[in-house]
Amino acid sequence: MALLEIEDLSVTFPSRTTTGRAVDRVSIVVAEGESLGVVGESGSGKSLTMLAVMGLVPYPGQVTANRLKFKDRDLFRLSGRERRQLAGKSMAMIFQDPMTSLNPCFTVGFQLVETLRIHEKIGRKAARQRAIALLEQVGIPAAESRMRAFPHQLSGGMNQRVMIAMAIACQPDLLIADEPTTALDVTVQAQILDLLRSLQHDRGMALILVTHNMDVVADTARRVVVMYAGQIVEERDTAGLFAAPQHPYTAALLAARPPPYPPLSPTLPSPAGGEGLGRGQGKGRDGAESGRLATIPGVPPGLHDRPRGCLFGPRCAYATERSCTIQPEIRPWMGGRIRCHYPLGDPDRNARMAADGLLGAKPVP
Amino acid sequence: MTALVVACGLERTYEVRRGLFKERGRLRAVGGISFALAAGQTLAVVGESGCGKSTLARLITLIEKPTAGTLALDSVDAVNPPAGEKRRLRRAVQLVSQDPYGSLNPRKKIGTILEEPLAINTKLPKRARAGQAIEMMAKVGLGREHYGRYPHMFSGGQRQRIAIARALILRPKLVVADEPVSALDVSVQAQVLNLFMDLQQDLGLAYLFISHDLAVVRHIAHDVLVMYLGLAMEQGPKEKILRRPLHPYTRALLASTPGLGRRSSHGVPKGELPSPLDPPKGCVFSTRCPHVGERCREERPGARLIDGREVACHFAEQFL
Amino acid sequence: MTAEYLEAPPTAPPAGAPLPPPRAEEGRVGAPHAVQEFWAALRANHGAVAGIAVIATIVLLAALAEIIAPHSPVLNDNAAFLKPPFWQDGGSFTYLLGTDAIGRDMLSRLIFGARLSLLIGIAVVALSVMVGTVLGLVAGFFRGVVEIGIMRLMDILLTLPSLLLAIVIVAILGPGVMNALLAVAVVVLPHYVRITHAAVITETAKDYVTAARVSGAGTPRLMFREVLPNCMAPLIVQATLGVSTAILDAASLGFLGLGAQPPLPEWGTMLADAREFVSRAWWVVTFPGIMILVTVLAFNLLGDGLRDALDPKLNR
Repeated sequence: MALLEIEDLSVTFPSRTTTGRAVDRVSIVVAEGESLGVVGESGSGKSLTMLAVMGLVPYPGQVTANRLKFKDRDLFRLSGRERRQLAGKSMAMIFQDPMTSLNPCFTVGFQLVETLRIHEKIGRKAARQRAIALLEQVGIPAAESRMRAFPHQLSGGMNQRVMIAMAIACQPDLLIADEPTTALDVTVQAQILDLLRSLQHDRGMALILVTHNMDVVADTARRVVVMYAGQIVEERDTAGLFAAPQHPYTAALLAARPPPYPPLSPTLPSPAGGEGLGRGQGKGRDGAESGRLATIPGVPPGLHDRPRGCLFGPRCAYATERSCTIQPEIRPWMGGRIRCHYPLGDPDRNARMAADGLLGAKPVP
Repeated sequence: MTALVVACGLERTYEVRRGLFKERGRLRAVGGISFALAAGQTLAVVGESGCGKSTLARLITLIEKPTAGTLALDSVDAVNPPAGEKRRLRRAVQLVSQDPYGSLNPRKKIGTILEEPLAINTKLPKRARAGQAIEMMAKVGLGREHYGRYPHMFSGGQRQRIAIARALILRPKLVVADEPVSALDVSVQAQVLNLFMDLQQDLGLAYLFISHDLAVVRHIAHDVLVMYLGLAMEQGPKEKILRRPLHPYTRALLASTPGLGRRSSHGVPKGELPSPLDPPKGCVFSTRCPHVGERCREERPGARLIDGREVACHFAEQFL
Repeated sequence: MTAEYLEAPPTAPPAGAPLPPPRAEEGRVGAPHAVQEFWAALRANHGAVAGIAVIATIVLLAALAEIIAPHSPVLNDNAAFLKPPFWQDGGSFTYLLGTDAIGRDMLSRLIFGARLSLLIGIAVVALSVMVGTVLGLVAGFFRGVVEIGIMRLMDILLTLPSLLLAIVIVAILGPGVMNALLAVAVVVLPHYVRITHAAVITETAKDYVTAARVSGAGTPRLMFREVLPNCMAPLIVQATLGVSTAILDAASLGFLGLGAQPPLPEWGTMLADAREFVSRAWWVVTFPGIMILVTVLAFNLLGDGLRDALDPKLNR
């Protein structure tokens, strides 16, 4: 059963002359207990989509949608108060910077207890017991003494754990994590991702992981939504997306990352079924001339200078005259969805591209 | 071939006051780092925040003086340079920093920013300086029309190109890059990394490339130096270290790096960095090491040469 | 796998070829000049424009006082003591705003008074901004003993009631316009030192300062060429607000008889001289008061506008 249904969600920012569409007709369905990754570069509208779901879009932004339903309740019909209650309890969100997400004036214990008392209507003592249990659950050692610590006395990883504890305090059905590990070190990032994954698994909670890092989604999410300039360009199950990306943008993003490491020595457990997926096995630096990374030319369009046809068209190697004038609609494709006239897996795309007048004359890599 | 940069036992400690009446603590940000770097080569310094890599960058760029150890640039003592050499040494080492938004003076035009190092260090007339600035802008992929613009009109990737151009305008021999791509989007990151590699090939630059991202390091480096709490854990040729890491910390870093199916929770170190004011008595990694033994807690391991790289671990052989 | 499309723009000239510097107008493409940009932002603020208009009028009045003023500000007319303004019974068009207790024309005194009051306001601010900025920069760059010395001294100055401090200084130096000016400048100095110091601390932590240091810039260059321009926004705002404070402080000193000495016209002194006539002749007190109020308000409005125009977050 669908837990969260978003249909044609748009967020617009009106300015004096034009209206910028920061999120453009985004549709996402999240099932109960599912883990979904939302990937995109900065300015792709990925965070704003989630803020719109939470009802947290900042002032001039206007949210419209055909449907925005959570647990079969229409989020637009709810009063502000009901929505806030829902947002804190059944839907929770954690943000990128754990240091600024917590109030520096209060101890983490106090903040956790307050959250519990507001939503659960339980006594101070009971809330304290629950808070300690939660801190233990998110892997904070010596939880009881950490209750008295102020956010600045804890490291970034510890603060992110506290944020997670606050988010899961009321047993949410959906946890939205917006770049939860971007500000953290690699080893701590791994710990936090493990924690999120196990929480999601143990509690049957749905998880939406918003990130710019393809590798982070690869480990954590079952299904991936790729966003570009406010639109969904591709949606697919993770393994399929990494093995054979269908949208040129997805393919270019995957190719732009330095290639993965060679397999490690046998002392590290060898991963099952993940060998060399997706990216070309680049030889790295010693491979002489092949040392350069694939890049995407240009920069993403700004809020007010979106191109007329396909939004990725001006940067795409396969753009045709057709893609410069007609914006492709999102459509089902190979078990997922795609917004492209010529998906990479289409057997007769070369013929169709030639017929439509190929502009980017680069050969297929 | 003689090395361009030779660092030997570089050390930098800070005095830290912990409280009004408490004893002053000593924070050892960099504790005895040695390396040699030749022209045209890249040494990547890898580690997490608090490992001392940024302090190392400040030592190499001559912003700070080491409290112990020697540093030679072009066979000239850079810690206490002979009279008249100081200025020349300064010019030979330049810096590209992480934050493309903070590293350019917001009140100056790009042209002014690029010409400033020339105005300080050379006697070139204004016209010649502008010519050099535009030439350098072309080298890093910026157009002439950008000359008169202010930094806020550029995207992060373009700003990083400007920062690179400013670093290169004095024709340095060594560029210290402190996390130069970690604030950039993936596609832009690739552009900037390519630029770094092209420039190295064209100008024969040596890079001290500081990063926490092992995928980037594997792509750009020749040699790798893995730091933890101010100390070198493992250093040597990239191929040796990333293909078969012998230090548990290097292995932990690799195991923690995300990627489809590449990572399992096995091998991710527990806990977090101990306070640098109060480092563990034995091996600094002993508090988090999954393979820790009794000896590790008592005795700090020295660097040993094993399989073509230096490792500071008592039990490095187990991974051979 | 190499899908390398475009790295350098097609306009990139062949490497090594000497290039002429760009012409001036070329440099301006797409980049409005900083002054134009600033003026456009300032003009959008109606309060600031009104403030500028008022200040310009007062400056004009002061500059052309000899031509505009109908009478001498110091000569008294023995036939007309405390004459009311023209619209009241007993008033005449000879003395539009009436006369004071010894028969001097109020309007002329107000016009000539603008000279001294404005001079005090602007000179005090200029002096304290210059000294304060240098002290703040020095304190921000030379951390340690120098910083502690300067900042603690400023804290001590701040703890003393400002008027009391000014009185003490004037008492030491002796009354007079110049000494009052110096006294007020010392009193407002700590504000500028503190603002500059705080701004310098935040700015020096930024990477561009490190970058300039690596490229060989010395401390004076870092202080005045790199860091100072980035600290100007709060300073300019504080300075315009400070003009009004200075006029008021000088007026208080004048009121106590420690500022401008009679018969020199100055708004604060005029107020002071008129205090015994408050109940009998409202105009002798009210007009200097209104002048001070209007000037202070105008400078405050201008200060608010400047703050908005100089704030990059509001500007772009």
